[in-house]
Amino acid sequence: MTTRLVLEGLSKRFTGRGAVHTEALKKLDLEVRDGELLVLVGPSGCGKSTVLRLIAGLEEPSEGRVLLDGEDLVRVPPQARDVAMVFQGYALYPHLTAAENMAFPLEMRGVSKVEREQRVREAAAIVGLGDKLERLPSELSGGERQRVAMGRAIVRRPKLFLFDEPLSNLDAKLRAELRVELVQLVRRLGATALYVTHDQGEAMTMADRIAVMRGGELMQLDTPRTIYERPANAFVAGFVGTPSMNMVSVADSPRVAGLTLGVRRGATCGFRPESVRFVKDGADTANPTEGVRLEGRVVLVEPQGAETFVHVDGEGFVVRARVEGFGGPELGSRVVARVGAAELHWFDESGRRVEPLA
Amino acid sequence: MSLRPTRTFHPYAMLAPTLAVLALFCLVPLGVAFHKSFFAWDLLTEPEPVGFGNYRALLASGELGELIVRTLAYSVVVVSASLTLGLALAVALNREGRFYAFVRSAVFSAYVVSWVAVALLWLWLLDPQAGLIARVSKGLGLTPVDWLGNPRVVLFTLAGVTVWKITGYAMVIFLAGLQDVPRSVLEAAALDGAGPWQRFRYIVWPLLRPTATFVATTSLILSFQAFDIVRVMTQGGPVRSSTIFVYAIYEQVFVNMRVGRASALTVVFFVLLLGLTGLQWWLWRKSADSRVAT
Repeated sequence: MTTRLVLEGLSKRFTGRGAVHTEALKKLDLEVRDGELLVLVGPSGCGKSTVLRLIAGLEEPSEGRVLLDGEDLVRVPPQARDVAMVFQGYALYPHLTAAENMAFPLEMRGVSKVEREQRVREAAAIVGLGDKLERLPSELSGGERQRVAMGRAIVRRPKLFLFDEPLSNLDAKLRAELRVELVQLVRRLGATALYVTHDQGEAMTMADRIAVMRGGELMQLDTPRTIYERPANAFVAGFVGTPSMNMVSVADSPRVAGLTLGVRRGATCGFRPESVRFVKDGADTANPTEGVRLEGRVVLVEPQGAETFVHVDGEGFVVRARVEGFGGPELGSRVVARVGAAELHWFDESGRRVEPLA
Repeated sequence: MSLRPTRTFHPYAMLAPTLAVLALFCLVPLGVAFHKSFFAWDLLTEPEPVGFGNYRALLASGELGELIVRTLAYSVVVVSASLTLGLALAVALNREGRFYAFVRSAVFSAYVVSWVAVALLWLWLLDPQAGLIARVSKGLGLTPVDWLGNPRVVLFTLAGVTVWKITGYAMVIFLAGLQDVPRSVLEAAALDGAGPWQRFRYIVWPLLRPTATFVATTSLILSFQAFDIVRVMTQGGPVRSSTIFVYAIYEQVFVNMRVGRASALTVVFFVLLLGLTGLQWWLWRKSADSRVAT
């Protein structure tokens, strides 16, 4: 069985007080391929959860189509769509035990009791919930509740899984653990899934492809690697990566070299913290017209163990740099740093990526 | 910081005002009624001790059994109808928008109106000649029902008026209960394949059970206290067919001048209510236990 989800020109407007329209989603085109884990990421209010709700049938689109294996779902009620969703707050049935929660979708579909029990046991084993099946949600920890919610989604083998920030209610350690388990689970089931998160780190580690959204619009759709290495615009560049990319408006910063790279004045230059290399003063032998040369004072040092983030104030703008281990310049010292021309990202005035002339 | 009282009498001193009011208006009258139930007294001459005479007379006339059956019948109709209608209205009106807000307030407004006003309003509406309902049914070619004059109908008419008045209250409590059901839980149920009826049957109703128990208890108490509408609309008639408990007590004192008989009725009524409250409490505990602490 192959699954293919296609969204065509999907729009959603909400009418608020005084008939003011809010455009939550603007003509989104998106395809989720069979067996793919596609992650929708963006800041809150970017429309990513709206996309999930439209696919699930919990909202009706203002325009556009939701095609699951070629069938337009827009007029199909949620209970008749073969789509399972895992909610942020788990949305478990508080009066039912873990086993009853997981059996519920099967019961609603008229699956026999014997088969229900069999499939709940299987699903419980897959999500690692074997001995807690008779407990009520209130007697389970956050992580266990999330496992029940995942078990409830997988038990009926739907065509498509939707995950709406399923890990964001958990503490950081558990979140990282469950993230790995969830990816493994989705891969093992060969499931087609759409996963929504505001956490770009989660998106990078989990996704086959990432769709970055802002203000109801798709900013970029590509593999995590391409998104990171060749962000399509200044927003994606700044949103993906921790710490985020250094963005320097060229007009403001006379110390930024490389204005000859065929980019218009007023454009923005971006470079990732790991592209910044500290050089000994006087040992800077690189061609001064190439890349970026930066002089400044170290104003903050953030050791992380395996890496250290160094903040350098270059007269008016602060650059974040990343060095291995505990190395790097000391707090308060004056430093010179360079970024190679190949590691610069250029964006025009509207924020779009501009390829430097070769 | 310790919450232990520095003087042992402090907590009692603080409770004293409430306890005093309770004693004055509940315990003392109950004690007086219990005492007076062993006397024959017409409020004018000296009370005469009669032992269990009042109780024996109540049992012998068969009046007591009829009274209990009538009161219970009235209560059953009031409780079941206000519960069902209140829940149905709450589900139907649990939506956003000015129209629904208006209908909700309209339904609830009946609860705020005084019993006497409600009774007078319905007396006028149900009037067999000039009443609106009689005229409408005549206009439709139906045989008019003598709502208050037919002994087989009158108790249900009174129950209907009571339901009309208190359903708004049940609705408001159910609305509060419905808003406690998380939206995402209902959305999850929809995606799990449950249609609107199944969502109500398997998710909403089980989560509303404690609310329903509460509504049932309060409307049961209310229905047992019914007096005003009987006094205003029927005075217990015709042929005592709408005489329910509290009205019967009133009648013994202020119509028949038999304080002893009324006191005996009061004591029986108290025991009956105690039993019913105990039953309700037990049911509530049972439903709470089956949910554990969620």
